[in-house]
Formats: sequence, C-alpha cells, structure tokens
Amino acid sequence: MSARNGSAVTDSPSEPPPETPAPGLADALAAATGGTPVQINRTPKVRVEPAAWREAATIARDEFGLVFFSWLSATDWANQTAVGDPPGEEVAERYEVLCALSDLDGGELAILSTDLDKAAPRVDSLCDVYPGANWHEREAAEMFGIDFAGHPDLAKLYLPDDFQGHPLRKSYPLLSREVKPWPGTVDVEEMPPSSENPEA
Amino acid sequence: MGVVAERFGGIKPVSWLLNWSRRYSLWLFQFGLACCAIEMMAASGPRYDFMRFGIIPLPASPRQADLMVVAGTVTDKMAPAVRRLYEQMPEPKYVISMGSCSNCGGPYWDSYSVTKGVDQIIPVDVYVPGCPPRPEALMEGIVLLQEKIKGEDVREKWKRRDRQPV
Repeated sequence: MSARNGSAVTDSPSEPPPETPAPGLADALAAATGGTPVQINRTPKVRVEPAAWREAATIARDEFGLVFFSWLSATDWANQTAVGDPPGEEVAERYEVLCALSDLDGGELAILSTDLDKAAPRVDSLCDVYPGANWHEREAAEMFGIDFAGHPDLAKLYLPDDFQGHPLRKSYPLLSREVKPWPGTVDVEEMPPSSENPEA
Repeated sequence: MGVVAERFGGIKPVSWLLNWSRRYSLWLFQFGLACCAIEMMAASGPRYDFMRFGIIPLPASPRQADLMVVAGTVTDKMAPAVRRLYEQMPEPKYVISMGSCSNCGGPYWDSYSVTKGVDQIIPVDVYVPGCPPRPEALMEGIVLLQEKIKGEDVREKWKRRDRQPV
C-alpha cells in the first residue's frame, strides 16, 4: 500500500533478508564485458555501454554458458510523467534496456542492462546472438520506440499497424485520463484494524 | 423469408409464430475474448445449461448463428474482426454484450488499446453487467433478449436488414 508510487519500497519484516549473491557471477561477467556490476536482491545484473551490448551478450552466451534467452524489455526512467505519479526521487532520464539470460544446467540467471539516450534510443539487435530476442525486441520497439539496429524486421507485434506513438513511454498520454482523472486515490478505503496494524 | 415477413409479418398470428420460433432457437456464436468466456462456457455446460432456453451453442460458423455474445475485452486490434464476423451473420441477428469490458471498457477504461464498448462497432441488444457476470446473469440477459424478440415487429426488423453500419 505504501509503496504505491514506487518511491518508498520498504522491506517488510516478514520478507526474508536477501541471500548472499551467486558468488562472483556479476563481477566476473562485468569484468569480461567491461561493464559495471549491480546487485539487485539475488539476481546479478551487469550494466554495459550501448556500444558493448551485443558483444556482452555474446560473451555471456559463449563464456558463461548463459545460453537461454529469457526476456528482453525496457524501462522508461522519467521525472515527468503524463499519467500517474512521478518518481519520488530524481532519476537520470534514460531508457534502460534489460535482458535476462539464464543457464539451463545450473539455473543461473543474469540480467544485462544498458542505458540509452532519450533523444536517439538505438542499440544493436541481439537477434543473431539469441534468435529468441526477435519478438522481444519488436515489442520493446513498438512500446518504447527503441530502434534495434540489425533487427531483421521491426514490424509491430501487438499494436495495430497504424498505431501512433509508443504507449509504455511515461510521456504517452491516455486520452481517457485527460477527460476524467484516475479515481483510484479517492476510491481507497482505510484498512480495518488487524493484528499487524492495530491503530487503524 | 422476406416475402413472409413483408406480406404477412403484420398479421398477428404469423408475427407471433415467427418471433416464437426465433426466440427459442437462437444459435449462439461465442465471441469469447477474455475471462467472461469462461462464465459463458459454464452457462453452456450441464450445470447451468442454457440449451433449455433454446440457445444452441457452437455453430460451425457465424453464418449459421442468430445471436452473438461478445464476452470479454474487445481491443482496437480485434474490433475489425468482431465487426466482420458480425456482418457475416444472417438477419435477423442479435448481440449480447457480456461483461464490463465489452459494455464500456470496464477496468481498461483508460487503456491505450481497448475499445471502450463493443457498441461503438456493432449494435447491441442486451448489456449484461458484471466483471465477469455469473452464468445466471448471462442467462437473465438471454431471457431479456427473448422477451425483446417476443415483442418485435417482424416487418420492421426485416426492413432494417440493410441498415447502415453504425
């Protein structure tokens, strides 16, 4: 409830403490690809430069055995939002492309990410490294307007062919919301008292 | 059919007979698009069994159907297909819009991809509210539709067969 606008994600006491990360995968992958290791909970994540994106995926596949392409998506980091609450704290404006790769034998999962300039969001396609990236990139392209260089056919996947705009961008306006504001905040009822929250 | 409807449709017993036979033999074209379709299937199953009202589910094609139940979320991408299949149904034809999404967009009222009500693309006879409606609610919608057909003017219905697209 309190983490609605994403600004204050607090760990509730019932949540188990984050386990120690898989020893060194993030660091080793970062060292091999020239990226920066980032630890998110239990998942190793490596941030690389856009120019090294395709190369990093190739290294992850060939040298680390991360042969299974799990998913690829993007995040629009924006301080101005057309719909909903802006982020609680200032973020660097960028599109972050994320790609999860896993190892079918050991069950290791690693996330590669890269930050793209909002003015020209363009990165190499991973289609010839992982053929499974094809549709994921088409989806990211239509939803976020990211150009994947070298993709065989960046046609729209879900949206109608004549759809204008990129609906998952934070700047994308929703016409219905222009007419009628989101009623969610006035619809919220107070929670009844419970053992966890006796004051309410 | 046209001759009967135009020449004899004004005669009360003929009109009554046509309406009576129509409303108890509705072949239902299931346009199941989301979770409402599960409730529609339940309504056609043995527990609720709308066949006892004369609703016959699963025609092989919309060309054999009299009634279309749009059950679920109609997206802008799906809308042309809904319209096309509706146009393939022979007159007289009826539409039940089942569930909030199909009535007005429902929980997706502000979505970029959802049509805000199937009545924007095809004429709707009965709206069944709910998210999703229980099979009983769909059955009440069907009974309401049958009541509507009962009071219908056969000649008027026949004349409107070439009506302009909405």
